[in-house]
Amino acid sequence: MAAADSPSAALRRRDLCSRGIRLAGKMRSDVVDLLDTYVERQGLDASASVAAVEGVPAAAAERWDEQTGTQRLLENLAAYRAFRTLLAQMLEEQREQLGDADTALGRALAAVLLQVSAFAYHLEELLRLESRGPPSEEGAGPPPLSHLTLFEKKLRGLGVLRELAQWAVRSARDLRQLSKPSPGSSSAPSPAQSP
Amino acid sequence: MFSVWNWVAHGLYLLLNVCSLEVSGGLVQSCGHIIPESPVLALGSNFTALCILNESCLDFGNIYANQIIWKIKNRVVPKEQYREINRTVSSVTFNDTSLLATPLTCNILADGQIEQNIYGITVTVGLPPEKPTNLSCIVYQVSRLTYPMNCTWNPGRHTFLDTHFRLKYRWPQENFPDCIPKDVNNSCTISDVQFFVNLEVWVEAANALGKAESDPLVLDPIEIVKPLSPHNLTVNSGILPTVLKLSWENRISAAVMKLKFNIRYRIVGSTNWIQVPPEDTASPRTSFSVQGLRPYTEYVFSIRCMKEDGVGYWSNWSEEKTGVTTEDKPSKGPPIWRIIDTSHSPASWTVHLMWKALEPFEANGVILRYEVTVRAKSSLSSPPEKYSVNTTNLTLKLLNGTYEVTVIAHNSVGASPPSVLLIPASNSKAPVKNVRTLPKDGKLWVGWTVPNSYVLKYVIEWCLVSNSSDCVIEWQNEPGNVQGTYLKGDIKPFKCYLITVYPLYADGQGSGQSVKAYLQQDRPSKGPTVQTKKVGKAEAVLTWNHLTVDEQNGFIRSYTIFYKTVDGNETAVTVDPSKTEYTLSSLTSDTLYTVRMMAYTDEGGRSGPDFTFTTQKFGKGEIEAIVVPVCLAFLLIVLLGVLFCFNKRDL
Repeated sequence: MAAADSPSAALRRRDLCSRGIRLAGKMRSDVVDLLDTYVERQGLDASASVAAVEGVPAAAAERWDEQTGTQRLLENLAAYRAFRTLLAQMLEEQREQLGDADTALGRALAAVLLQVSAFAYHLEELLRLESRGPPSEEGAGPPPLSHLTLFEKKLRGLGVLRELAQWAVRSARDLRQLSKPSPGSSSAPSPAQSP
Repeated sequence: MFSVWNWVAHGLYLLLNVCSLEVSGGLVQSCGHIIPESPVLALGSNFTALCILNESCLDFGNIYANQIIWKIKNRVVPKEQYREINRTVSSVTFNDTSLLATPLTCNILADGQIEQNIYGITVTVGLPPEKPTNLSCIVYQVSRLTYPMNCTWNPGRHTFLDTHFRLKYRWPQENFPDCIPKDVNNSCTISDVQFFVNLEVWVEAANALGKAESDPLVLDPIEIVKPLSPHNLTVNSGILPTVLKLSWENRISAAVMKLKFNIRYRIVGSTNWIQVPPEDTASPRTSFSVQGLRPYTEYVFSIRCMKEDGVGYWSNWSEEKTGVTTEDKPSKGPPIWRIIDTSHSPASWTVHLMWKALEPFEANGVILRYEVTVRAKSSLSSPPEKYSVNTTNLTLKLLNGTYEVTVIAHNSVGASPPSVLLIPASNSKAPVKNVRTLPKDGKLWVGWTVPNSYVLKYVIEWCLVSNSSDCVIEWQNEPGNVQGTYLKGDIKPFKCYLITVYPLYADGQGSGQSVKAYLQQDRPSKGPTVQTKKVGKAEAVLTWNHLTVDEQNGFIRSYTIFYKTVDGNETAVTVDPSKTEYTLSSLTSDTLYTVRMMAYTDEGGRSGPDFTFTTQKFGKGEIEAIVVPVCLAFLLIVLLGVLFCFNKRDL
C-alpha cells in the first residue's frame, strides 16, 4: 500500500493526474500538427509505413488491464524518457540539415520536446507519491544513427512522431485510470519489484 | 637649399618639444591619487576617501598631507572632516552621503599659496533596489498557436542608479533564459509558454549597490489566458420571425481549453446592449439561436469567450455582425378616424376616412396594403363594401346613416387584427364638457370633463386656423379612462389652433366640443386700421376691421382708441373687442384730430396707423339756421322796402 495516502498526497496526485491528462491531450494535438509539418518539410509521403522504432516501447500494451498503476507509470516514464532523447536528436539533425535553428519545424519540435520533458517530470512526481521513486535514468542512450542515411533518418523521425502520438493517447488513458479513487489499484499487490 | 634648412629647423623643433615634455613630465604626471576611484555609495551611509600623495610629488616645494584641501564641486569641505593619516595620506569622512556631490577633489595649497588640484573622483550616490512587488502575469493569445505571457510588477522606489530588471522563470526540472525588459523597468513579455506545467516566475532587480528579488509566483499558464475572440461570426434568419441563429469559429483548440461564451446584441441605431443569459452559453459551442427578438428588425451581434471554468480572462468582444429577423404579421390594426363633409347635401355625405401608419414594432414588416370594409348598419340587406388601398386614407360618398368601418393592414406574412370605427348617423350621445387647454413644458395640454356614460375612447382633433391656408385636421386617439392629454404633434407658438374632443362609445358618438387655443401668445403683429365713417361738429364715428387670425398672435382682449389734437393731450378710450365701430363725442369743432387704435392680447398691444380728420365748423342744421333767417330777414326787408315805396307813391 502506498504510504503517502494523506489528504494532501491524494490532492497532489489528483492535480498531477488532471494536469497530466490535459498535457497528454495537448501533446497529442501538437504532435498531430507537427506530423503534418514534418512530412511536408522533409518531403515524405504521409502514408509511408515505417518499421517500429528502436528504443521506443510500443504504445499498444498487450495486457493493459492486468497492469498495476505503478507498472503503467513506469512504462510511461521509460517511453517518455526515450522520446526525450530521440526528439533532442531529431532537433539536432534538423538544425544541421536545414541550417536555420529557428524555423517553424524547429520551434514546433522544441515545443513538443518541452512538453515530453514536462510530462516525464509529472510521471516522476507521481511515482514519488507512490513512495516508489522513479528509477534513475539509464546511461545507455539511443543507438547512434551515424550508419543511417539521410532518408532513413527522416523515416525514423516519422516513426518517432507517430509512436509519440499513440503514446499520448495511451498516457491519457493510464492517468485517467490512476486518478480513479479506488484504493489499492495504484500500488503493486505483490512486493515483487517492477522491471 | 631652403628646403634642407626647413627640415633641419623642423627636426630641431621636434627634439626640443620632446625634451621639454620629459623635463616637465614631473609636473604633468599626477601628484597623487584618491581611493576609492569612482565609488557608488548608498544614500545616507557614511564614506571615507583617502588622498595619497606620491613620494616624487613631495619633492616639489614642501607638499605635505596636512596641506590637503578637499573640495566637493567648488565648495571646500570643512576641516573637521579631515584626518591626517600620515605625511602623505589625508582622509575625509562624510557621515551622510546625501550631502556629497560629484566631483570630489583632493587639492593642495602649494608654495606661494596657490591651490593646485591633485586628483578628483566622480562619486555616484544612490540606493540599492527595493524588492519588486505586485508581480502579475497574463497570457495573451496572439494567434492560433502563439501564447506570449506578459508580466508586470512594481519596480519600487527610484534608485538614482542604473538598475536592471530581469524576469526569471523555470519549471521544477527545467530552466529557461531570463526575460529582459525593453525600454521599461516594470514589464516583460515571454514569447511563448507551455500549458499544464506549473511555472515559477519572479523578478530580480540589480544595480551597483545590490540585488533584490520579488516573491515568486507559481502558476499554470493555462489559468491566466486571455483568448482571442471568436471570429467569422455569421447571422442567419430562420423560419421564426423572433429568432436569429449565430455561428462562429473558435480560435483556441479544444485540446488547449474548453470555452464558455457571452453573447450580446442590440438593435441597429440603439446604444443599449442586451445580454443573452450567460448560463445559456456557459459551455463549448460554435452556434447559438437567439430568441425573443422583434420581427423585421435589424440587430447587431458580438461574442466573447473565456475558459469554461471561469479561470482566466475574457477575450475582447468579437467584430460585430448584423442580421435581420424575418417579417411577422402586424400585431395591431391602425387607429382610424373620419372627417364628414355634409356641405353638398345633408342626406349625402363625403366621408374622408384616415388612419395612422403602424409603428415598426407593430407593423412587423412592410405594409403592402390596407383592406377597408364599410358596412352599413342601418340597412342590413346591403353587403359590406371592400376596398384595397396602399395609402392611409380613403374618400367615400355615403348616404346618411350608421356605418361600421374596419381597416386591416396586410404585410407579406399576414393580416393585422381589425381596427373598427363606428360612424353613427348622428352624434347623439353625451358630449364631453368644459374643454380647456393649458400650455405646459412646450406642449399643449387639453382637458375635459368626462360624461357620465362609459366611454370607449376619445378622439382629439386639432387644426391650425389661418387665413392663408386651410385648416388641415390632425388627430389622435386617447383611451376612455383619461380626462386630459398632451397634443402629439408640432404645435407652433403664436398660432391659433381649433381643438375638438369627441367621445366614442360602443354604440355611438358624442358631438365634438371645440375650443380655440394658443400654445404661446404674443402681441399682435399689426394694429387695427381705423378710419372715420361720419364726422360731425363735435363727434366722429370711427370704424375698423378686426385683425385676421394670422395678425392676432393671441386672443384680442381689448381695443384702445387714442385721439388728440395738434397741441392737445392724447385721450384714450377702451373698447370691447367685439365692436367694429365707436363714436367719439365732445370734440372741438373745426379742429384737426389724429386718431389711432391699439389691439391688446395677454402679451401686449400693437398700434395701428394714424388717421387724421377735421371736425366740421358748423353742426348739422346750423348753416340752415343761420342762412334761412338771414334770407327771410332779407326778404322781409325787401318786402317792407317795396311796401314803403308803394306807400310813398300813393301819397
